[in-house]
Amino acid sequence: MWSENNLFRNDGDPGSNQQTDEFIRHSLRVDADDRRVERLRQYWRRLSHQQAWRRRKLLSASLVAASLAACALFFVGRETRDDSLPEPVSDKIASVVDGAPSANSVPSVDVQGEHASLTYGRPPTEYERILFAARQPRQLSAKRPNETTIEDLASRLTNIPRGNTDKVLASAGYSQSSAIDGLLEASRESAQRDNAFDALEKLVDVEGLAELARASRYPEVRAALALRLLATNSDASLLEYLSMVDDMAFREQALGVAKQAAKPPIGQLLVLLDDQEKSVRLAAAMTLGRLNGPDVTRLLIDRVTDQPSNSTEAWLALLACRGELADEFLAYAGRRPQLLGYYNNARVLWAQSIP
Amino acid sequence: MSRPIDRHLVDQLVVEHLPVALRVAKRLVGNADSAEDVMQDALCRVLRHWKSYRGEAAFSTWMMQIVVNVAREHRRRSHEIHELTCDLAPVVTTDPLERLTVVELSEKVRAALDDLPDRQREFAMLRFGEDLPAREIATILQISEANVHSCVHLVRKRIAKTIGVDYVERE
Repeated sequence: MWSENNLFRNDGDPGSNQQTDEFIRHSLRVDADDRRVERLRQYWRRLSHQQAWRRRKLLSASLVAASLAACALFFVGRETRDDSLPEPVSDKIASVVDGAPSANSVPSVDVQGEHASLTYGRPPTEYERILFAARQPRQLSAKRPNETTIEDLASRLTNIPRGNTDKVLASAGYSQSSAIDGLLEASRESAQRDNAFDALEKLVDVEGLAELARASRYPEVRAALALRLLATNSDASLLEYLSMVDDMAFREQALGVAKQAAKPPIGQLLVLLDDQEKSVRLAAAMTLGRLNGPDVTRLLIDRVTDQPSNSTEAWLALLACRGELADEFLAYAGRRPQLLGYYNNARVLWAQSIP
Repeated sequence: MSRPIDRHLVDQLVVEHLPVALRVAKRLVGNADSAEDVMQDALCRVLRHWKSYRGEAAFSTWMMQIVVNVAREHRRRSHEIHELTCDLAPVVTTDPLERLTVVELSEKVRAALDDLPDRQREFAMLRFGEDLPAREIATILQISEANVHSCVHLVRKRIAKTIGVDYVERE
């Protein structure tokens, strides 16, 4: 029979832990109420059905839109062709009167000549202008006389001072935007990433790197840029990193790489917990929480115990920390009247500020 | 990467694991009504994110991870302390004194578990409540397996301390 005395006895009996566990299991026994399970099952089916219905609706709407667009393109194309080749009215009348096709209405075999006659002596239509613009970059890049590979460009850019980038770009036959696109594309491969980022930093500076991270459609490039901003030992890049953390769209990705930084700027982040901007303070707290680890936790505990009233963000960072030390301290704070108020305040702020 | 699971299979698996998930939610938030709310939120998330499931862990582990996260958020939001109410298994004894002893002891153990820090409490509910293996608990709580093993001793030690007996770690 279970009792305090035999529950934790330390008599060398290998079954004792098992007995303890069994009793804890017995104390934690809950039943999944059948009515509730059934209600949840129905809820799931309803949700699932609604989602399927929405998906079907979306699919049919996009099909309708696509077919409408195809019809519109077809009619617009036909209208354009009709406009460019107006049938002479006199020929039409003659064919109606004579009952025989006129010489002009006979299909021509000389296709080259016909095409020339379509465009000769008239300005290009809107459609032709768009088509030409769309084809232009490919044609231009094909004709680039002194084309340099993007790897060469990256290594050339990394070895020059910041002001001389225009000359290098011009000599390599790249515009600034095409170089940035190419370098971003190259940075998808981890072997070329550092070189490409060095070159990009020469072209767009640290603020530009953050913008590129936000605009990039490749998650791995976004993450690598965020890591670079965090790992670069400068206030400007750290603030740019924190602005990414502050942005809900990039928060998870930016925080996800925090642990990968070889030397995370813990000291700078602790200083930024007192920044004037609330968003910077919160982002610094979230980053410290994600960096976690006993060192960070110990620094945060020192901070909140030294100045408990002036450390709301440090409390937030501690709430975000995972680990035995943080758990122990928060449990301790929950029992100490001197700390409980600040702890609760931080929890409320957490719920309000960090969704 | 190809999608390893199709929509109908998700339906089946969710329905199959609902009772376990509800039990876990009930233990984590302390009462049945909140547990049902948590489960509804969790089901919404499952429906929103099922495509992100890549089959790296068992579906039940993935779903339990969502339930634990939602329960955690629920506890943070509510700012209430819910004491765990459990349905004790019938005590196999005719002696009313023994029965009373077991009930009292169970209450003490539950109180000790309620006093644990959040992370250890979650661990205890999964380890002792559902008897999940260490690897699965590590995946659900995103901690290392070594941490799981050390948590077992920590929880036993705390319960022993609350009950007022000495506990010495044994292997």
